[in-house]
Amino acid sequence: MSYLNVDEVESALQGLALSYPAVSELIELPNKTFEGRTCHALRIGANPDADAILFTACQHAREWGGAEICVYLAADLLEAYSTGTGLVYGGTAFNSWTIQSIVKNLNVIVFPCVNPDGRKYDQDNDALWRKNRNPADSGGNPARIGIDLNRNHSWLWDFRTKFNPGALAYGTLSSDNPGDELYHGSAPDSEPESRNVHWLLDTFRFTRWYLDIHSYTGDVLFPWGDDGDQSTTPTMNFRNSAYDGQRGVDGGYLEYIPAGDKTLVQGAAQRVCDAINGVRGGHYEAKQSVYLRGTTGTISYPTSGTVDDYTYSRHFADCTKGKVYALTLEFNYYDVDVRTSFHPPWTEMEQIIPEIDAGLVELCAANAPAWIPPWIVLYRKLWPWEIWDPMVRLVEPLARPVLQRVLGERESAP
Amino acid sequence: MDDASEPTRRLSGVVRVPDEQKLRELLSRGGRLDFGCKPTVISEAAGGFSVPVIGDAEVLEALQSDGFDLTLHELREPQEDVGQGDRFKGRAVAPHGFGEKVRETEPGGRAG
Repeated sequence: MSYLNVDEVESALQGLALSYPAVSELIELPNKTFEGRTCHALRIGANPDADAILFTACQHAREWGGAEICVYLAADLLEAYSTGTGLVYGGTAFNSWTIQSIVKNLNVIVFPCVNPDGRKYDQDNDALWRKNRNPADSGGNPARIGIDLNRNHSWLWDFRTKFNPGALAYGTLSSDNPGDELYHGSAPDSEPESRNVHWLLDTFRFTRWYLDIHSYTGDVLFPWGDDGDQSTTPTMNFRNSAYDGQRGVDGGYLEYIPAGDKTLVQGAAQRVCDAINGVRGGHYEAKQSVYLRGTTGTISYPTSGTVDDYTYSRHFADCTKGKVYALTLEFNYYDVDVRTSFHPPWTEMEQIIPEIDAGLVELCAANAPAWIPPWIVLYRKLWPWEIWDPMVRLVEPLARPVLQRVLGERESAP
Repeated sequence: MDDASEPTRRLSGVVRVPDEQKLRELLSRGGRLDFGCKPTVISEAAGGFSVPVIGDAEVLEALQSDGFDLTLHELREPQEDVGQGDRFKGRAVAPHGFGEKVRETEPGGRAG
């Protein structure tokens, strides 16, 4: 076996959709890539109105294994469900009841290759390419092609305004220079690949969890990525422009996360780590995404425009969006040769895929309800969301002061 | 040299720094110095940290001339580990995952 080329990623999804038509659906994403590719995701689930979990991979072109992790996760769930078996990944096991529960009562959506143009370029040229292949801002210089998709999302995208100038010194925040690896594009959400992920979140409005796969540090990361966090001062948050220019450096600003949400995302990240580590004794760690593994916890890695923070931030920024808990998973393989770290030998990747798939199944298992009440399905089918959403947006500014009085400032701060 | 007309082949290396202060100094040199998806910081048993980096020769040479302890590693030749053609024959064949499908001996029993 070997890594999948971009055509194989597509045909694998199509093959699964054809083989399991009762419990899967091929989803065509609306935005074509710069090179004209149409991307697909696969929904696995017997009930389209169930809650959803979304897994994405390969925003960064050179992090090849994420696509395989998603494709083979889908294959495992569909085959195990259809044959009535459990799934065993080394020392981590899921019984058949769990698999049945996931597929019957949850929608598992995999989008294995967010950035197929970049993956194709990297696989053909062995270029350690990170970005997409949009040349719009390159000025004709091949070295300046592409946008870092994981700095392009509309979350604190305008880093020069939103962050303390000192945060730029970390060299990991973002960049407005097309020649840099972290170039964030000419505008937030400018890239079709970014908008495809947003479309999935909008279309599957009952998405509850999101996990984006990267490599190669061996972490499961939870929000936030711009600064340290706190749960006591709701007004100190990414929407509050009074804190512009203060984020991303030690001391002062800390990003607000409700205590209950912190408990949930931290617990879920640890649960995923435990499932992964159970397969063959790995050492994955759960961390807030702003911190670097291997340090005392004081070295931070502030980021802007990332998809995990964008996804979790949506319900704060737009009252019609549901809350989606978001994680980032960095699968792990380390070699002094960075190319090998990004592209582990396939024999090693065959060990990594079941490890990570165990973690993903665990996240599904933890969030699959035992049953879905029929009135929930009816409500989700019949409620006129297209009328409701604009009304809520209209009323929300008027209702917010009332909510603040009733609920306190929690989650309703500016 | 951002305006070079052709992408130059990049080098990889590992930088060793003695403490977190020097680590911060290294990370602050982002931009054209590529730390991977996110910086990988490895605590050394003897103290200090190792950080893998990628960059053009001139970027890495500048690190060395500024006193960073850098060991260069030649990037390996392109791997042969990518599929050719279409193993799924244009959707006619569905992939199989890596999980072992296990039938429980008792209803609702734990797999494995």
